[in-house]
Amino acid sequence: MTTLPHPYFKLTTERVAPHRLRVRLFGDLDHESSDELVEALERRLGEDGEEVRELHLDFRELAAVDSMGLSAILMAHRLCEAAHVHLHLDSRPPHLDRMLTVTGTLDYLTDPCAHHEPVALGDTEPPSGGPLP
Amino acid sequence: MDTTTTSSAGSLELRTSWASAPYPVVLADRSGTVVELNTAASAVFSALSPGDRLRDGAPDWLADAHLRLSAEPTEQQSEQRPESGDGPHGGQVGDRSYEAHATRGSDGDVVWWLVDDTDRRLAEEALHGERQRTSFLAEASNALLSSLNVNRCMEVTAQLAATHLADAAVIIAPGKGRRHPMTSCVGSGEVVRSIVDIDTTSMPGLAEALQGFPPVPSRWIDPASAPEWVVPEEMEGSVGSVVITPLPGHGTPGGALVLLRTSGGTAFSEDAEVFARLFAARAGAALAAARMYAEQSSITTTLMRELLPPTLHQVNGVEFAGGYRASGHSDRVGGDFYDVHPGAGEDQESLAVLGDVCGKGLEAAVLTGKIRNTLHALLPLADDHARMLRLLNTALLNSHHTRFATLVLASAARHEDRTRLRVTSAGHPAPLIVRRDGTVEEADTSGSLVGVLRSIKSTTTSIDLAVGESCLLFTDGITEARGGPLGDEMFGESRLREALGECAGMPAEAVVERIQMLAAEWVGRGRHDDMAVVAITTPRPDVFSALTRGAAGRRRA
Repeated sequence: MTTLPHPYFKLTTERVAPHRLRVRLFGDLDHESSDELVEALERRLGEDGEEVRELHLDFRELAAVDSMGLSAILMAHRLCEAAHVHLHLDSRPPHLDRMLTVTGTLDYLTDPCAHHEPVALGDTEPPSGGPLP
Repeated sequence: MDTTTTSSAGSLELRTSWASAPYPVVLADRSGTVVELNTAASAVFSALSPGDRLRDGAPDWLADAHLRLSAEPTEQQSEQRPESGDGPHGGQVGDRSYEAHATRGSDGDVVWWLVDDTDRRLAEEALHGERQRTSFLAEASNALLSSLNVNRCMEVTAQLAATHLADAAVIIAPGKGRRHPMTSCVGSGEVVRSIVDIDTTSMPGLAEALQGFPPVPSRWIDPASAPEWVVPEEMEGSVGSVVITPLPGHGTPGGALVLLRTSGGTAFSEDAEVFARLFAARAGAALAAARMYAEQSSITTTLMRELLPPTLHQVNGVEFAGGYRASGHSDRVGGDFYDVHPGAGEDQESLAVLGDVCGKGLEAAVLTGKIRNTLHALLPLADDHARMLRLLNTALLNSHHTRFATLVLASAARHEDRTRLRVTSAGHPAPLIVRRDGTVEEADTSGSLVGVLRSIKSTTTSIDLAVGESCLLFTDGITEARGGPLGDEMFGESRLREALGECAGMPAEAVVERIQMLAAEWVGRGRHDDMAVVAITTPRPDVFSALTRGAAGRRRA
């Protein structure tokens, strides 16, 4: 954890390979910054959705994360599912792993083989792709 | 006539140049007799001709100015530098206004040059009026925006309007059916508030104004058609003219402002109507803000009432106690909650729920309410926590956000000298158990958070609590409370365990108080998240027998 009293939040996105997008997060991912992550992903997946197959969220520089931060990561997962993009949570600090473990979301968010159905409530069309549970 | 040869030659030149001058020019001698005047002057002063006394054919202000000027000594003035008198004189001639500039000759004659300044004066007056209105509007805005109380806003509006815009002002607020709140004020008198049962179509233009349509011009409204109920009793004389202006709100009409003037006074001009509209726009905005605030605060109050932590007590031989400390930096509804649903009979399980909804504010409050209601409805299924959680999860799933909740379910029933607990965590920190000897254990339960994942899993554990042993449910606001000697250290689970270890044998209430006190001490004046704790304890037999009789029935906050 960084020693800065209020680390500012920042994220960078870069195309590391033709089908691979890396989003690095800096600072606190919390109720103030969580929207920023979701909006950035919505934008990038909308723009580059055709080519991107792998999305790496890099948490190496992550400071604190609160429940809204986790909510944003869950939204990232949902967005990736809808765009048929594989989500990877890289360089997770121990406190993030602990949070994912306690909340029972670690397997869901990190299992590379898992095929989760997109939550499609209110959608008229049946969810495409992925076997039914 | 007293003219020398030289000066008459000069005068002659002057006269030829005056004659066609576009401005009125009058030459009068020392005694106030008109010597000459040009065509423009003749047009203005039709009764004046050379040889007349100035006072007979020109207005008094010009004759007076001439008298004053002629009386002044002229020695020091040279012919080359004719000096004008004591600044420009001016006054009305008929319905026009003129400024008079004097040029004195050495012989005491005065040439009066008149400049028509009617338009400038009108412009100045208009500017002055505009400035006054602007400052009134600014004052009105200040007065209106200083209160977020709807009634106070209406009072201020009525007062300002009755003082500055009309003889009397009446505000009719949108009502329920035919009943409308009405606020009226006459002159600088008292404001009267009432609720009137009226037919808004009985007054021309009112129904339209209440629907937010643009106002109809005042001249289209027959003052005699103003119904009795709209004319305040205190108003003296009959109504001479009426203006009805809508009070625009934020998207929805905010009411109507009715301005009344008595038949003796001046009727509303077009300007006054436009101005009334400007004022109404400000008043409407202030009223809308006040209404919105009132609405929000009533929503918050309603939600708070629903979400405030219940007072817990002993149920069927099991002691429950809860404590909640809202986040310090926001007094809004927080994300933590707890509930205890008492079992129906003595051997029936009671269900304690403690949870934490992600985020804060209205959305968190709505989700909290949903969870509490759903769990209440699912109470008959409480013998299977996993199933209860699955059903709750499905009820909360939502395609447009990933707000979630973590919670702990604890079903407790008294079995002779011990309490049997079934505890399930849904993505929540596992409860801690303090044994009689002060050892602290963690309940062996885990599971997924609810509200986001399509399918969730959870494990339930069974725990027996002997007399004096407690199970503590808590939110991460406790363990993640930042403070301590350095101010930025987390309270952490080990300190919580240590604190709980000292609570062996304590009643539930005391356990909660102690944990809350230690966490509060740790935080000091620093920021903290919501902190909620619930203790479930097997009470000592004497307490048990004393309290169990009065603990019948289900209670909820």
